[in-house]
Amino acid sequence: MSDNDLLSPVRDSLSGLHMQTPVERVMKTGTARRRRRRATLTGLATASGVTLALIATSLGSASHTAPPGAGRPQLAAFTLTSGPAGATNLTLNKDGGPLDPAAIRQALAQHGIPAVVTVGELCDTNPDPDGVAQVISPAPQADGVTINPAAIPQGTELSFGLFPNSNSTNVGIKFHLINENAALQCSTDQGQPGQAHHDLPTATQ
Amino acid sequence: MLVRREGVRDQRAEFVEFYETNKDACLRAIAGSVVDRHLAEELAAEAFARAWATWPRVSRHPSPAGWVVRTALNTRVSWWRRRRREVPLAAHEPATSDASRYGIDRDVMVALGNLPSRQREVITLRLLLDLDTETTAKVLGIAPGTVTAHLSRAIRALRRGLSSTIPDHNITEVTHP
Repeated sequence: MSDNDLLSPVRDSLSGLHMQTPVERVMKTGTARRRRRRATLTGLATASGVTLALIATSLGSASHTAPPGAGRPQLAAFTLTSGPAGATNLTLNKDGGPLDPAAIRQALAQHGIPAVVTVGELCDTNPDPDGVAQVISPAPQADGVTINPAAIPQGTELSFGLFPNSNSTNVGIKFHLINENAALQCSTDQGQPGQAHHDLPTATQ
Repeated sequence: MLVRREGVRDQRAEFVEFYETNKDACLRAIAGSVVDRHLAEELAAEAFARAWATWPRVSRHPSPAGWVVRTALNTRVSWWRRRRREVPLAAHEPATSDASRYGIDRDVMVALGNLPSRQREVITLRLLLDLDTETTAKVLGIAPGTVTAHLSRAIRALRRGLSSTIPDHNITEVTHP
C-alpha cells in the first residue's frame, strides 16, 4: 500500500465537511475582539500616562514650583472612548488643537467604525440608508456623540462633517449613514432647515 | 483621506476572499485534529475571527490558513484549561449519525483520533492544507526534520489502524518480490 493509497481515504473521509458559519458573523466577532483589545490597550496607556504624570509632578514639585498655567499640555482635539454595551463615545474637546479628520477616521476604524470624516463639508450618498437613529445619539456631554457600531447596517458606514464656525471658536458636527460602495456627494453647505442631514448641538471648541 | 477608507475596504475584500477560499480546508484540518465536527466548527470560527481582528499581521504570515488552524488548536487547549474538561481523544469517537450526516468516515476518524496530537497536527496540515514541510514546521514552531519524523510515524500508525478497513477503501497492498 503506497502512502497515497493510504492518505487518499483520510483526505476523502473529511471532504464532506463544509464550514457553516457565515463570513459576516466571523468578521463581526473579530471586530468586537479588536475593539475590546484596543479599549484595553487604551486603558493601559491612559493608566501609564497618569502614572508618568504623577511621577513627573512629584519630581517637579521637589525641585521647583511652576507658575500657574505654565507647561499646560495641549489637549487632544477629540477623544474616543469605549462605553457600555459596545458603544463608542466621540467627544470634541473645547480646548483641543486643530481637528485632524484623518486621525479621527483612523481612531474610529480602530473602534470598528468605518467612517468618512471631512472638515468644512459633509459627504452623502444617494439614496440614504435607513437606521442612522439607531447608530448615533447625542452623548451625555453636549459636545459629542455616542456611536453604536453593532447597529451599523451591513454595507454602510458613517459620514461625519465637522464645521468650525467663522470665528473658529465653535464647531458643529453633521453626520449621515452612507452606502459603502456608492459615489460620494460632498457639499460645503451647512444645511438649511428641513435638509436630510443630522446635526449635533454645536460644541464649543 | 479616502485612501484610508479604500484600504479598509480592500482589507475586508481580501479577508472575505481568504475566508471563502480556505474555510473548508481549515475546517477539515481542524476536524482531523480534534476529531469532533462541531468543536471543529466552533474553533474554526473563533480562529478566523481572531485572524480578522489582526488581519494586517496575519495576512503577512507565511501561511495564513496554517495560522488559522494553529490558532484553533491553541484555542482548544485554552478552552480546555478554562473548562477543565476534555474527552480523551483515544476514547472519543464521533457519533455515527454525525459522521454519516457529514460523510465522515468513522474508521478514519478513529484512526486519526488514536494518533498522538502532534502527529495528528502534522498529518492534517500536510495532507489537508497541503502545506509543505517548511511551512508546516513554521506553523507548528518545530524543526522541519521533526515534521518529517512525525509524518512518517503518523503514516505508519494510520497504516496499522486502517489495515482492517482496507477492503472498504479498495486499497490493495502490493507485495514486491
